[in-house]
Amino acid sequence: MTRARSLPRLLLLLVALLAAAAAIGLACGPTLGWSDFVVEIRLTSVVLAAVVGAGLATTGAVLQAMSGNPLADPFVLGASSGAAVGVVASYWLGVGSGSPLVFVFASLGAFAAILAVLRIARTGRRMPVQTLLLAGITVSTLGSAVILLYFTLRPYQATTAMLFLMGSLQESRWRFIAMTSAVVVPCVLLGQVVARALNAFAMGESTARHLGVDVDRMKLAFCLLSAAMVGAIVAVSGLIGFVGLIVPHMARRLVGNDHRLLLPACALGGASFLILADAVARTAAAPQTLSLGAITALCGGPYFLLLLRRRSAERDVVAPEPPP
Amino acid sequence: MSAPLLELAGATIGVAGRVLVRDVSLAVETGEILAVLGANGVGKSSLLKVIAGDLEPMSGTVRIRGLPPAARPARARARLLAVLPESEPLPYDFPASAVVALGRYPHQGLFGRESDDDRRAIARAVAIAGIDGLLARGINELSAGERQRVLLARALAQEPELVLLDEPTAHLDPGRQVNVMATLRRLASERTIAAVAVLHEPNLAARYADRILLLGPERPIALGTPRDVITAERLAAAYGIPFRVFPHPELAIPVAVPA
Repeated sequence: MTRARSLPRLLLLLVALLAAAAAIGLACGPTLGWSDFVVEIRLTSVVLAAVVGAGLATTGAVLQAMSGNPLADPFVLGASSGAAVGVVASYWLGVGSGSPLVFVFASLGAFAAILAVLRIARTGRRMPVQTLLLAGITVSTLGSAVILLYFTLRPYQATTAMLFLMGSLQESRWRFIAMTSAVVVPCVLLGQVVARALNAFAMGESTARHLGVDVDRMKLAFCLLSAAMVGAIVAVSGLIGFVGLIVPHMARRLVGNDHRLLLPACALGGASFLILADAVARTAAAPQTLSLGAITALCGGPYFLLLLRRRSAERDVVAPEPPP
Repeated sequence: MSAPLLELAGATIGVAGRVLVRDVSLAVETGEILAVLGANGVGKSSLLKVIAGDLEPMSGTVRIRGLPPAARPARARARLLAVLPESEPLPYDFPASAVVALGRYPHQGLFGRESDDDRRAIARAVAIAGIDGLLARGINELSAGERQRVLLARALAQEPELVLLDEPTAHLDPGRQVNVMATLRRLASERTIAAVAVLHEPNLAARYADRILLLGPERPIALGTPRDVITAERLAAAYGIPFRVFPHPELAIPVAVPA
């Protein structure tokens, strides 16, 4: 019971972490000084990083519960790539880069990718972890190929392509931030409404059904929620991977698996994590800005492999192959 | 309340187009325990899935209080019917208390505020399953037997009329097997629930069930009281090995031993 009482305090701790991260983010940058212009630039980066990080981490936790796979993440499952293809498709159709239609296309792309991956990975009633990851990575690679082809055929946009594929918060303008927040913030709050259903899903899909969850409708809701967030995020920041993997995993260790606490912890932790990662990207090689996606991939890739390895080691102990 | 609790009429059960068992007809009323016996692969678990609404019967009808299980909204179905799954570790660890509390999901509204009714139902389920000392522990840290009791408490917290159990005594020693079955027996005898339990042990079925459904390949072999169903010929037909059956020295039930 002491554990239950200390949990809100852990969330307060995460709020403090977020404040500290924001302060660091505001203080760091390639240009020194505190002129209004510099602060304005840094402030937009910090705010966008917070929204993007919160959204990616929340989406990761939702996808992990829905798929019963703690290694799921919007990037690993191909949702981010699908959103990126959606963005490219909207450019190809001549939609201006500041238009809300880009968001719609991106979300549709993410939705299609999630559905495709879940469908490919399903064998009968089961969804083996390895198949899910393979399907996600394959769809991701396909998406990257489409994007590369598009940008190669329009060479003058090659740098945009790089920024986009590697993930960046440099396009942060208040208009974009407002548009992304208008999608991500309500979705993160909606997460609280479905938190108990996520708990039921985390005990297995058939258990969720037996506990009275309308499984098909709820899965559709989770996919829509995830696709909306990923679309709104990728449309402004490109492909930033692994935030949805690292942050929920750390949050689970801090507050446990109850989604009523896990989701707020993910939102706060994801915001802090991405603000700090962005501060590193802006200062590590100043005056040059490093790619944010590369920084998160450098942290997240090894972390992912470690989890994958530990997981298969556990599997071997818990469930030895039955003799033929 | 007029419609029978559970009624199967001429139900043919199969998976992926392959028939497992044809023409199952039975009715279960509150207060009853029905044991389902049969060799591996004859469709015992599929029968439970059909009753739970996870699987459509290939033909025939299944009705719970007058409606096919899939015809009810998920919440309403979960207030009527609880399923006790096999005692496997969960993909994510939760405190046992959180697992039991989720049994109230079908009774709660959108935001899931816990009502007095919820707290009463949880306390009652915890007391019946005898898991007071386990509530703070993680479900995946528990032994198979302890986890089984936590899952039983979750099923009881749903306050269902019918409980479906798939091999509730698998991996349990005889003492714990009897514990689980005696708990069900008491709840049924107090007329608060009915249960359909897939079992592997004919003697456990004879001891605790009111009636036994013995499934053979393709068809049910018998449905009736333990004395009617547990005979040497029928068990031999079901399991493909000879059995000796003799009366229990004190209770009015048969005892079966492989010959």
